[in-house]
Amino acid sequence: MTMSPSKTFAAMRSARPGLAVSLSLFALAVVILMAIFGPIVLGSGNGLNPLMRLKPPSALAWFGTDNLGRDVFVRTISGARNSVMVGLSTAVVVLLIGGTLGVLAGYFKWVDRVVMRLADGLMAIPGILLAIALVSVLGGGLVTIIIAISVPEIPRTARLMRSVVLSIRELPFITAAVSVGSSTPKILLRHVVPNAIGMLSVQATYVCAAAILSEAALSFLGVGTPPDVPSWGNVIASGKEYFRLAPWIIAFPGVILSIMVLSINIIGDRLRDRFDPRLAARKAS
Amino acid sequence: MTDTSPLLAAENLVRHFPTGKGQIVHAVNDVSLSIAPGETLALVGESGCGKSTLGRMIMALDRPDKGSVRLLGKDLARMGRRELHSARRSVQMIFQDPSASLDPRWSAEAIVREPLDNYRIGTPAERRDRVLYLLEKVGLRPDQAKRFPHELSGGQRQRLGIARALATRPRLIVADEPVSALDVSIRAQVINLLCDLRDEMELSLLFISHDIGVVSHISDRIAVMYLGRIVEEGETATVLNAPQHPYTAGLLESVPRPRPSQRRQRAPLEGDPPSPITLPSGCAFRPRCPIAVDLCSHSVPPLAATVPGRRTACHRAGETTLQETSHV
Repeated sequence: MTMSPSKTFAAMRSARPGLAVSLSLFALAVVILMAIFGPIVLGSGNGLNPLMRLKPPSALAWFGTDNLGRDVFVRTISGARNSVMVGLSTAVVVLLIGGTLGVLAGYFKWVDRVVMRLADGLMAIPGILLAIALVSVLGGGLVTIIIAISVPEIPRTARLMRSVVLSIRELPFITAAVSVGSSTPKILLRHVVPNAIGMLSVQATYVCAAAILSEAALSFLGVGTPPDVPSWGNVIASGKEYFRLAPWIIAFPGVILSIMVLSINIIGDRLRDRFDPRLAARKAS
Repeated sequence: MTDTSPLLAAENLVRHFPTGKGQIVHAVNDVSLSIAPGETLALVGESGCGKSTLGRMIMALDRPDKGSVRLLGKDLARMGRRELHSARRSVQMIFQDPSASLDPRWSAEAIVREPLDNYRIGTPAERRDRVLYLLEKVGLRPDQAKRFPHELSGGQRQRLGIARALATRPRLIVADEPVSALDVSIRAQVINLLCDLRDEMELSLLFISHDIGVVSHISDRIAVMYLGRIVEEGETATVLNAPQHPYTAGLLESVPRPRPSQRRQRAPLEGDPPSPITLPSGCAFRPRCPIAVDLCSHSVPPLAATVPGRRTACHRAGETTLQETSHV
């Protein structure tokens, strides 16, 4: 029983993305479980222990300890909750608002003029600066941070969706839908949006990953989650002055942050392929 | 030809597109044509001559700058939204590229069902039956109903496009180059299918094509377009056998023949059509015309009846028989 070389190759090709996606889903599931149960099981990890300052990883403290003797492992696990919440909520908010605005701007010229000028204005301000300004106006808290991270992301997503829709609306099947009497809302919801969803799902993963990073950056800069609520950002921030002495403080949450972002991106790619029947067919054959 | 009540009549249609640089593309210049019930009119011309723009205006997908399109005597531009919606039901379109004109996310069944749902034709169960009936009518098997466009061949996709166009029982079908994206081997099948369905359902057909050879088999009348104008119009057989306009003659000469040695003694077409942005003065065909005279450079020849049922836009129409203008 020998397989032809092309068959073997095809099998390998189809197996590989499967493995990467499985690993990503596994990593994502672990992080989400951490986010849900971590703080319940392990607490917030705020207990100070001056005797345990800056200890390297050991059986006692798996990821080592920070400058205040707090267990980095416990703080990383607990921090997942904030990061995941911020990432997912931001992705949902940005996709709903930015996606809708983008689709409308791509299809209706007059909406385009208004929305794109507003987007230009917002995009002229650096995202992190805008987020800092919003946090200082609205006050601290998780909801504020989600709003602050969403606002700079919305114009980017709106612009992307607009350009996708602009190219879709010129395709002959849209003309065909008009000529068989489909209404504009039907064309938008049944033809335009489904054909843009691949792009949208990739963008969703990007926004989710970027939001987790932004939250980390805000916390790192001291305007995100307060220091007593651990998040990956403020754990990394707490380690920045001791990087040469105790690199584990930054390394472990940093690596987990990277794995999380990478996993989300891999899942995003897979989603795009799934949503596109042409790509799915190519894979199957 | 001059029927008492044409199904569709386009009068003095003009469509210009501004380019970004303040120039104007003269896509369609003063075109009039009419289609009688049950008639097949072929619209022939090189790419870029405005035939697709004309088709879009007839489909109410684009608005003319001047002139009107009347469907059963009613001007499409003056219809309200509701009225236009119901008018669309009787004019349907078959597109050039069947792959691009079918939504890749919709199954064959859903594609044919879309117009039925839009016009609430029958009960949901009747719609399902009608979809299967239409698919069978165009030669697709019931088990192909669940397939997506990419799972069908090019010919099958165009059959699907035809089934969709027939769903609302239209009176007129505008077929914009329906076979030019298909393999040569299946063109004849699709054209025959189109002709059979036309005869069976008593459809009018506006067949837009750049290939004067294809058109000769199916059309009652031919209108030849050049740079946004109709230059010659008449019964298919008469136009093809005795073209009065030198452009028609040139087009016929460019049709490949099985025995190239038996070339007809006609002037072949030379050069490319001028840009529709800067039209030549006088007759638009003058720069390529083998029989142009002085008059042609300062006056646009009107599309005038030479014999009843025959119109030609050439100053020298009837003066010379084009067979004699040997160029070789």
